[in-house]
Amino acid sequence: MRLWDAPASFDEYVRDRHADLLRFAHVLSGDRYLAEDLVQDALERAGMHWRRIRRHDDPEGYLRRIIVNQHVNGVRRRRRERLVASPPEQPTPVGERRDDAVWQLLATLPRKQRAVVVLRYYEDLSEAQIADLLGCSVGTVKSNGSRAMAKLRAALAPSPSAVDGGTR
Amino acid sequence: MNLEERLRDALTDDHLALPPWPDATVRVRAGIRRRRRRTATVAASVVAVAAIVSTAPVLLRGGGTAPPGGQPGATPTLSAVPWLDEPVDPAAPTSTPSGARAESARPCTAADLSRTAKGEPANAAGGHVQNVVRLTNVSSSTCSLVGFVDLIATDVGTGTRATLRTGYGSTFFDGGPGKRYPATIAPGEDARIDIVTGNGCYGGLGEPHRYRDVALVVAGRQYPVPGLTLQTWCPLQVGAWYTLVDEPTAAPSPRFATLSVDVVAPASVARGATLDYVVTLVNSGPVAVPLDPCPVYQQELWRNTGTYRLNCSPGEIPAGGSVRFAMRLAVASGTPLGPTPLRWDMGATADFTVPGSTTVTVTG
Repeated sequence: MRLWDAPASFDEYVRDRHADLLRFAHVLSGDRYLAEDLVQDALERAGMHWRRIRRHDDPEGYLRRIIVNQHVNGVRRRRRERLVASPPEQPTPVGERRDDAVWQLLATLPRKQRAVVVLRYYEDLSEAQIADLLGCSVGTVKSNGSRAMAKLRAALAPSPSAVDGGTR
Repeated sequence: MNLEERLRDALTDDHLALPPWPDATVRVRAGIRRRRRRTATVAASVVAVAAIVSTAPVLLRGGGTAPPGGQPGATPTLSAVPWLDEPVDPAAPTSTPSGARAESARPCTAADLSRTAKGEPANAAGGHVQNVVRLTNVSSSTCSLVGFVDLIATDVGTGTRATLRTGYGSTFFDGGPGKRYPATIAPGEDARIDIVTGNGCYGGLGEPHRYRDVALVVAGRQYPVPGLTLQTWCPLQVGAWYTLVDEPTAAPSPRFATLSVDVVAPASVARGATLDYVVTLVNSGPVAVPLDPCPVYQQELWRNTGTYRLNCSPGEIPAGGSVRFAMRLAVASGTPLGPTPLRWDMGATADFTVPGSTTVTVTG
């Protein structure tokens, strides 16, 4: 084995898990290309220390922690995975997202608030687990979560005119 | 449905799944190799700067040419060029074949390179096309091209000329044993870079992007690539500079023919301890021996071997003079007690050509 090589088990991990990590990063970031950046970056970091990481019980948790923190901290390898100036139109995926309104609203949240929402409702983590993963206090998680939910509720609530119209 | 339920439903929508990468392990491993190279380069630069700073007074006093010698138990590393903790994997594809190219040299400047580049499609596979672009070293010395380039081109559809936004790093054609990174090129040799187009994006639907009058931007200068046109549905990918392993190279230079080695180590060392010793390279020839490209060396005590890059901060071994280099080796805890050969050997390549040795008594 070459000095720099991660073991073969790392290849298996990448093959088996990268699709789920891509999905997680996509849900987290809302951008497929940024998601690919985040996953590539996280896997590279993990691969460099795989022997140490795999000794822990939860390498997947380690990967997700990297992805979340890189995203929340706004880190992006700007010179690596950029797009061409005006990429060809992307065909509409087969079928539509079930709730595009929620998806669009999530994109308006600050990164940390979105991360809290995703970790709570996609990953089903508790506030304490989220605080641990983000490296902040439970109070910070609560405040970010409540702000995010308030914003989403306000945006999704029927407008007064619609309510008025409905009551007439 | 309340907001919480709506969020769970929206976030677990199967339409948010992204297509898996067909070449996942290849692209991740290419990225890891790149990170390793970057880390090694940065570390070597830091150590080299530190070494220059710390050795400058010594060299000014002539300490660098002190005759070999030492006393048992004394610290033999005084007045020596500091040890450089830069291990080299002799089996890696990036290692230098016998008598051929070094792994790195001074960075190429714009003046070192041919005014135009040569580019042509080379391979196609898996919906990707590899366009290989070459720049020639027209200077009189070896230099290295490291990293990536920017591309400027004219969009055939709009006539707009601009810097293209490209993906840098892993391309479909990265890696493999045939490429050596970074591109260290002797006079007259070519450095290569891959520009990879693809038709596998968006199902190949829609019109591709076409570019003409492509130019590389290297060290602030544009290098036109006459005749190269690019057509792609996917974001362009640009790889790192490389050379071909089996590319014909200049004849090996017997530049170390006049060097000999003296190894001076403490008379004894304990198992599990760190052995600090000094190697003196003595040049008996009439001309200085340059340490550029920087050679590697191998050290061995019992079964404990390692290959490292020499600290080349002195730049050369002066004609008729010598330079002392501090060395360091971890003595394995299982090393047998008693007199044990300490071997040291240096070369420009993994074929070691300047041997030296001494004996160290290993104690419990």
